[in-house]
Amino acid sequence: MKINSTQIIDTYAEAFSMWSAKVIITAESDYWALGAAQAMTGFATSVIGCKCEAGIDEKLSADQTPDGRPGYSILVFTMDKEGLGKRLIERIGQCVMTCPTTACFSGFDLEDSVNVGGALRYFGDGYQLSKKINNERFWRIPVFDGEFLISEKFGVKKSVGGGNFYILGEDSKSTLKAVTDCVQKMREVANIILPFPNGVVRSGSKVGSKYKALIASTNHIYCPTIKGMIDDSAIPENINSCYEVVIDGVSEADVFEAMKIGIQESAQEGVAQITAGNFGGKLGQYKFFLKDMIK
Amino acid sequence: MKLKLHTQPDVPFEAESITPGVVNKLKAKEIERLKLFHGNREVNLADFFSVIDNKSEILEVEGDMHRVKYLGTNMSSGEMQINGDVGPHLGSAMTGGFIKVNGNTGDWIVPAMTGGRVHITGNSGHCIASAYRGASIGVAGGEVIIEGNVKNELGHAMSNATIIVGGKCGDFTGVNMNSGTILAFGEMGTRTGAGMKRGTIICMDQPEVLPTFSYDCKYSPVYLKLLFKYLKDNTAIKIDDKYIDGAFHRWSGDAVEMNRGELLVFSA
Repeated sequence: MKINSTQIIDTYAEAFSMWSAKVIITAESDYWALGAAQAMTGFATSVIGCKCEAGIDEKLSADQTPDGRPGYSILVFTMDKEGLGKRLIERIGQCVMTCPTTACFSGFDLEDSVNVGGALRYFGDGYQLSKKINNERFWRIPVFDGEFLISEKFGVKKSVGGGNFYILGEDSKSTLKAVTDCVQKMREVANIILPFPNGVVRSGSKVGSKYKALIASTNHIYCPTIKGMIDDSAIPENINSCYEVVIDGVSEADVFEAMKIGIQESAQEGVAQITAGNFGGKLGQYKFFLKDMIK
Repeated sequence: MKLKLHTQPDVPFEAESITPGVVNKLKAKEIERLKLFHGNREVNLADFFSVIDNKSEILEVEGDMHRVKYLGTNMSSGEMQINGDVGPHLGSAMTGGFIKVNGNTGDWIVPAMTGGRVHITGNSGHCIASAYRGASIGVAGGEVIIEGNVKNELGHAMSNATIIVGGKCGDFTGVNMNSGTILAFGEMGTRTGAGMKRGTIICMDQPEVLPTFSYDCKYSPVYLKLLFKYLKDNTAIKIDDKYIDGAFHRWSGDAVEMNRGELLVFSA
């Protein structure tokens, strides 16, 4: 299978069932809303080491937010619902409440929810106030520049994490250009995040390690520097650089759409092969076949 | 179902049975035989109302009902639309559902309400959402929107509810309030928030602030931006951008009580 001159390997990406929450952060200006959004999504590349995966879903104009101020929509993913509630309390408490002029709202409906503002309210030390608008409860916590407004509950949804594909290129420059163009295009898709730095992973991992204490280690078969010393390298001879793109999405369809757009965009000159990571279907609940991405 | 008043009551008429929960379960003939009180005499509903089966889930009630009391009492679900003026005790002890009044109402609207929504496009009388005399807690939840004016003692001893008034308020607005929110766009009477324990009274007019309230600061509560947006989307109350973008003076009170209430006054 080919797109342009790029070979698409007949394989699939194996993805996992995760829980997600959409958090709307608003502030007096885009500057402060972005500051809070970046802080909240920092150190959230992988559940392996960060307990959650988070990223900015989209920038919101004033007429798209609950309070009519500029804002950002953030998606946070965890493996279980309880953990999601804990991560939201930690990250909103430390990164959003602390940021000047911000407020924080649930971006999902409350059919299934976790208590966040209802826990953070205790920071108000008894001076917090609760208000209901259209049957939804909010908390007003006194802070130095006025008050921090936050939804009591945040809606959560069963979602999909770990959609992925690998871009294998002939040289570092062309591979980096392809993956950069690819993630920029993918960011236009709503309801997904690319949790790694600028959306790209260069240290893709496999499960386990020769060192017993580690649950994950470098996916050595895609490391070009050692392809001569190992027997199971997945890198063809003409390949000298490889990058992985990881996608978390609110639904299977969102991840599929993002992967499709990303793969189509990546198939550029200098990119010899696109493949995907899986565990033989033993770990993940979702399979995204690359052959479906070229239709 | 639609009920149309065909005979004006001579004396107060108690219409407790007229709720969507009661009426929607019955056939037209059964509705006509519902028992109501005209003064101290029991009468059939059909003696005063025509029953029209319009196949709608929304209960419509039409006519000049300024002598009709207790419409929507104990209402827990469904929707009732009242076209015309209506008398006292509308929505008494309601726990859920929605009542829309395209007209004015009398006194003592929604006493003992714990949930649901009431939207009045005209004016209302005294003691709206107020505790009965001697009670320490009045309404304990729900939302009341009055696009016109109200008279004295709005939200007396209320807890948790949200009350919006598009026009003027009389004296003693939020007197002895336990919690909840009152937002008034028009002129305020005297002694606003007297004896309030907790809760919020938001005034666009400059009220007389009681000496037992202490000044806190001037700021722009984000919460109000949300509330104004909700009202813009759901009512005909005109909300100037100056309110949405503006600052408010915050006062704490009432010091004769717990001093945990707040008075937010638009800073012109």
